[in-house]
This record gives sequence, structure tokens and C-alpha cells, in this order.
Amino acid sequence: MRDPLAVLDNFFDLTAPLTVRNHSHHLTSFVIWRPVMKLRIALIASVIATLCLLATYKDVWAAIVQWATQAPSPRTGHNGMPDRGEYYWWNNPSGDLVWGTYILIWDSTGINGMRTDGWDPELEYEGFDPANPGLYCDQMQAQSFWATMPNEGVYPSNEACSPSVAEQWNVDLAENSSSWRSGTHYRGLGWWSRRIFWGGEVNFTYEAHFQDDWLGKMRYNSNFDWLCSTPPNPGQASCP
Amino acid sequence: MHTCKTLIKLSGLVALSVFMIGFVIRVGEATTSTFTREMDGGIWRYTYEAGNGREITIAKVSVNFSKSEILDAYRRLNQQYAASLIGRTSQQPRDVDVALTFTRPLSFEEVMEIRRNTGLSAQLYTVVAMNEDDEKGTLTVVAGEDSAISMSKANEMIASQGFKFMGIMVIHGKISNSQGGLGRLLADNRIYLVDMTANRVREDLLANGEHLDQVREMYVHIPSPFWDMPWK
Repeated sequence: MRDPLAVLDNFFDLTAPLTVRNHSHHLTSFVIWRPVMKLRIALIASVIATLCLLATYKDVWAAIVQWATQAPSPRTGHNGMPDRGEYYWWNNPSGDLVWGTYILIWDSTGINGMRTDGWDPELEYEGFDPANPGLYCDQMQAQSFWATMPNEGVYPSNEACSPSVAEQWNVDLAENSSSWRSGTHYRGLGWWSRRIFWGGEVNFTYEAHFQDDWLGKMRYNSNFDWLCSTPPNPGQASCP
Repeated sequence: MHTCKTLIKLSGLVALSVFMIGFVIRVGEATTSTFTREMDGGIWRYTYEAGNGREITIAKVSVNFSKSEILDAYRRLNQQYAASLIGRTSQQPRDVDVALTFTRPLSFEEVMEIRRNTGLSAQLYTVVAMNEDDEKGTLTVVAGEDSAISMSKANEMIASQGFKFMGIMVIHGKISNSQGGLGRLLADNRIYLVDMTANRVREDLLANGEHLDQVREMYVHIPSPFWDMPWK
């Protein structure tokens, strides 16, 4: 019985002859240079290409969050917030950044709550720390936003620092729309261009009548690699 | 000894005063207030977040679009206000804020034609899309210098979500309050709602003594009824 790892080592050693079984089922060693070399080079090249591709798009992450059972503070007690969902972080080294909620689920209590929270319920995807608005502002510039939940409009806004750098997306929810469905997977993803290369954080908030229910945050480093989230991803530590 | 005690007391008093003054200033800086105004007999209202030293303020307009009589009245009010703005062009025409909701999703070419014919400058596009299960999605795009590039990227993003581009349903931008600008928008039957409410909010705030000249940036969120309209 041959060691499979030895066979593998042998395969990736371009100078070594291959051991193959011939039609008469007798083990024979002989050198098949040109076709085997081509096959080896093609396979090794494809492995390298795949690794390069993975390295380019390495920063794709998701974190599952349960807002209903794992509520951070402070909260003002709105009932219209989503029940659970999943954050998403995609960092393309060429300059784009996509983050938001890949999955966002309301239960029937949440949908009814949205309609009774007062007017103007909205979701905020804040590209800075709202507790220290001057700290991580102007690091990302809002470009576009994809939303599958009923809305009356999605707006970029500049909440901190330099004028003309809008680091936040506001999704005005159409609370009275009849097309809300409990348990449906909605999505809210923002595209930002990266501007200043410092570490920082992004925050997610439900708001009604200008009163915020902070739902969580994600932190990133100076390469815009995602570090942690609050509430934490199962099995991961919470952000400091 | 007595002088020393007095000095200690005095310095304590001074420190306390400095702390109190600092606290009052801090509280003053942090003070923000929100107020809501019912407009046109409750057909619409807006909420404004204001406060001491706030450089960036937000006004949110609310309309209950699920009630058809309210939606009809809101459309009519906006039409009347827009007509009155055109009537004011005995003065120098000026650019005013506008949000357009179309009767159906328009192609990029149709929107460009409207922009060419009226001089409309776009700030924000709302593109609508559907998938095979007739689920709806919206892509909001900040208008760049080259709109064609923005739209081609929009198409890529929509396709990456497994959806199909249906067209443009809403535009936020600026238009001249002249017959050739705003007047043409009002006459275009592809436009369902010519929303001028951002201007009404500003006028109302000024009339009620808000110092908008001290505000660096003001965002007015104008809702659109586009979600529950037919997209195909």
C-alpha cells in the first residue's frame, strides 16, 4: 500500500518520474515527460490562480445577530425593529466596500410595532461611531444602496466632519405598505468608496421619530478588514 | 493659618464655579430638540431635528400614502404650489428642490430626455428591479458627474443580486422655477408626482424663526409612494 501523501508529493515534484499502473496491472515506473508535465503545470497554475482570487476577495464575512433576544443598550423601547438577521462585510482592495444586512427579518410583532412606533421609522447604516462623531468620520463615501424591504426612499447623509462626504445611508421604511411579510429575508446593502485608511467602526440603528434604538456595530482595521461585531458572531468575542 | 484656610476655600469655590460653567456650556452644546408641524390640515407633516449650534439638520416629511384620498390631496397640493412658484418668475428664476415619482419605471434614455428638455439636474436616482419571483428591490444611486457610468454600475449591482433592471422610478434634484423648467415637468404625463415639499419645509422653518443661515447642511427626506405602484 503506497502512502497517498507520497503520491501527492511525487505529483507536485516536477522533476520526478510518475509511477503509473499499466494495462497488464503490473506496477511499472517510467517517465512520461511532455503530457504529464503539461498536466502538472496546468493544475499547479489553477491552484495558484484560485489562491490569488481568494486573496483578492478575502474579506467577505457575515455575522448572525439576534436583536430580539440579544439586545444591546441603550434602547428606547421601540417595537418596530427587526427580529434577527445577518451582517455582511465585503472589502474589495480596489476601493469598494460593501456592508449592511444581508438578511433582515421582522416578525409580525415587529411589523405591527413599526406602524405604531410613530411616524418615520427608518434604518441607519452609519459609517462612523455615533457616540464620537468626530472619530471615524469621512473614512467612507456613500455611493449606492440596495434595499429589498418596502421603503419610501433611501438617502445618503453627512452626519459628521467634512461637508460633502456622506458616510451614512438612511432607509425610510414604508411602514404602511401592505407588502410587508413576517419571516421574509429582506436585504439592505450599502456600497461605499474607501477614503481615509484608519481603523474604525460602523453602526446599525433603528430609529423612529428621531429616537434611536442602537442595534449593533462592526469594527475594522486600517486595511478595512472586518475585526469583530457587537452583538458578537456566535463563537467570537464581542467588540470592545 | 486663617489666610491659608480662606485661600483653600476660595480656590475650592473657583474650581466649583469653573466646573458648573463648563457643565452648563456642555449641556447647552448637547441640547437638541425635535418638533413636528402638521401641514395643510394634517395631509402631511414634517419633523425637524434642531438644536443649539447644530450645523447639520434633518427634516423628515411624512405622508400616509396608503390612504388614497391623502395621496390625491398631497399630489394636488404639490401641483398648486409648483404652479405658484412658476408664477413668481417675475423675479429672477432660481433653482428649486424637486422629487419626481414616475407613473412607471422609465428607461435611462427617457430620463435623460426629460433632463435635457427641462434642465433638471439629478442628485439621486432610485432604480427599481424585480426577480423571477416578482420580489422587489431598489437601488439608490448618488448621481455622479457621468450618469452613464453610474447606471452601468447600477445594472451590474442589480444583476449581482439576481434581479433584473426595470427602470428609474424616482429622481431627486434641482429645477429652474421657470415655464421651461418646472412648467415642462408639470405638463409631462409620465410624471406621477412633482414633489416640491422640500421648499415648503424651508419656507415654513424660516417663517417660524429658525436660523437656517447658521445651518451648514440641511437634509430634507421626501417620501415617495413608488413602492406600491406597478413596476411592470
